[in-house]
Amino acid sequence: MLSPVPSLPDQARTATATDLLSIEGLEKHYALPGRWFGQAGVMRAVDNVSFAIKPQETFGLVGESGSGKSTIGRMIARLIRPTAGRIRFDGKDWLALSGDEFRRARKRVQMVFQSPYASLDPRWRIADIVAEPLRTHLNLPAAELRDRVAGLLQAVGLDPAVADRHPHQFSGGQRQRVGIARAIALEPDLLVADEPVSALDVSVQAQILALLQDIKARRRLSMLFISHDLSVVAYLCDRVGVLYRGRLVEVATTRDLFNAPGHPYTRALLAAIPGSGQRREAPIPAGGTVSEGGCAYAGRCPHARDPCRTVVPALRPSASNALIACHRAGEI
Amino acid sequence: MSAPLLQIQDLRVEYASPRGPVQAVAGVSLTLERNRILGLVGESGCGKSTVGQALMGLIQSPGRIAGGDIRFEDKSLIGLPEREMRKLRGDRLSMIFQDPTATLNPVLTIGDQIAELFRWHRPQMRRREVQARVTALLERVGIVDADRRCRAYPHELSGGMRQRVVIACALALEPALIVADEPTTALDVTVQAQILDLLRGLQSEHGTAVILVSHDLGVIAETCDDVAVMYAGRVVESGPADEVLARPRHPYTAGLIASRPSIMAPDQVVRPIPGTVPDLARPPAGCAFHPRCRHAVATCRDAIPTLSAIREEPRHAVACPLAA
Repeated sequence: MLSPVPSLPDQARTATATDLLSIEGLEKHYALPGRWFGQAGVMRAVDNVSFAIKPQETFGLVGESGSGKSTIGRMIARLIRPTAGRIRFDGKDWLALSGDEFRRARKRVQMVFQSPYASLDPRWRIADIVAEPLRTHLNLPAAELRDRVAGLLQAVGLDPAVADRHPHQFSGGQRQRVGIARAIALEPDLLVADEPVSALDVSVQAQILALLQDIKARRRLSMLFISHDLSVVAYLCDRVGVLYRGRLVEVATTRDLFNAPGHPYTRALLAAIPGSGQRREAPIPAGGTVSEGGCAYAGRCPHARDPCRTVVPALRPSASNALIACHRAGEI
Repeated sequence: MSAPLLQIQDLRVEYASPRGPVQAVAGVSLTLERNRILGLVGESGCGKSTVGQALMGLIQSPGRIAGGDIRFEDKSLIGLPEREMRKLRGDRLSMIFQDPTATLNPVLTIGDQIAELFRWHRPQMRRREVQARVTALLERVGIVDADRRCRAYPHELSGGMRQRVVIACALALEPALIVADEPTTALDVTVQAQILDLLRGLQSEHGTAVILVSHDLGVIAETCDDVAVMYAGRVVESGPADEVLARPRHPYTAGLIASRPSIMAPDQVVRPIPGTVPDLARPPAGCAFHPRCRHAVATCRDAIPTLSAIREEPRHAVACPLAA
């Protein structure tokens, strides 16, 4: 089909008809309390973030604590409301859906949380935890419900015989399997996984990564994978967005991001991974001040120049097809 | 040749539990020379933190040291009266914990907390000298504007800054040995890199020996000279860090390495270790790893393998009958 829009590199696209999820200009602000009463200012936890996820694509959001990655996930899951911006899911205005329409669409977006200890109700049996979404959304006869639960437990590598047990009888890795079984129960199109392996031991982490990989392939779903751990993101994701203080500083395919990181922050982040084999050019500066109006990273950036401190850089397509928000992207 | 700085021999630590005694540390022997960084690596419950706590004299009821010896600067620490141990702690031996927020006293300024160490251990030191030392320490751990910052309270600092203060406390009296228990686990990766650089700097500038307890093989690879891999209360493999991590001989060490996705080779498939860590109240017979081991044979179920050096590299030791 012909399109009037000049073709942009894949990363640079904003919404197209084929996207499962698209996000435009998403913002979440929190009021900072003043010294006595009233509001001293605004903390932009998420600041003008846009990206899109295609069907069957796994998109990674990486960043350090306070970068806004979990806030974005929670806004997509509609657990908190954005201050501004649009979220479109399967062509519909996701934030405007209400009532029955929202209930129907809700099934299609499910979440996996970080803590397998806090996210399962200790008083419920495993069978009830996994069956809850099925009970809420589908009206199944008891026998079929039981079969479905058994099938889901099997799909996440648990013996269906454990259905009558309670969460405390399980290890962290097994609990995370239960959380995943619950999330895939309604066969969602999008799974939002917020640090799903961070609380787990290394050997168990690998089991859950392999499980997510398997689910991704078998169920053909899209995933938004939120993590602070770049190695895990590199393993699981097709494309990655790097967040710094609420803003996306780089969006690229996983291969490009790890082979040729464009933004100075992405480079610092990669060099900081222990055992990455990359020598850090210079010690990474501690702290740094928030620059008013300019690039949020300017205070720590060895390449910062005048415009970096005054003008917020927009995400722009780079020569290598990535999107980079850096005034000096081409020269450094 | 003088005795090594630290020698742990057949250390056993037991915890009383309703289901009978749990052997958290079941016979661990380690040697550490001055000016070396030793990594203790393993998953939760393997006993790595317990070794560090035993060393600092911090095992408390229902735990107890059930056997073995810890010799530090040629003096046994086992059975040392608490009064003596308290003199050593903070002075010759110090510890950095995982959570800097829980370590620091929230109602003291960071300057006062560091100064307290001098007042306790060096009561003859003059106020002005103490103040100068505090400022110098904060500068050494990379806190700029130390003169002013020493009047800050812990809650006014970021997590990375707090951990720097904790490290400043650990360094204050120039100890011979620092035990750092997951010192960067609660921190962001760029901050982690700064803290690891700092630890390495200490060792190279002051000859401080460090025991770095971590679950993260990357951290160990980048920071340590030597490594001991622990599983279910025992050391299963030990040796020079680069040698052990490049050529692991124990199936558990190899499994840990294969479990970790690497950004160097993201296309490589991660191979998880099947199963979970054993219940230490009911440990399996023989090698504790055998129920999860692909290579296990009959002997693995019968006898607990001893840690012994491999033929090609005498410093590299493995506790596996199939690897030696």
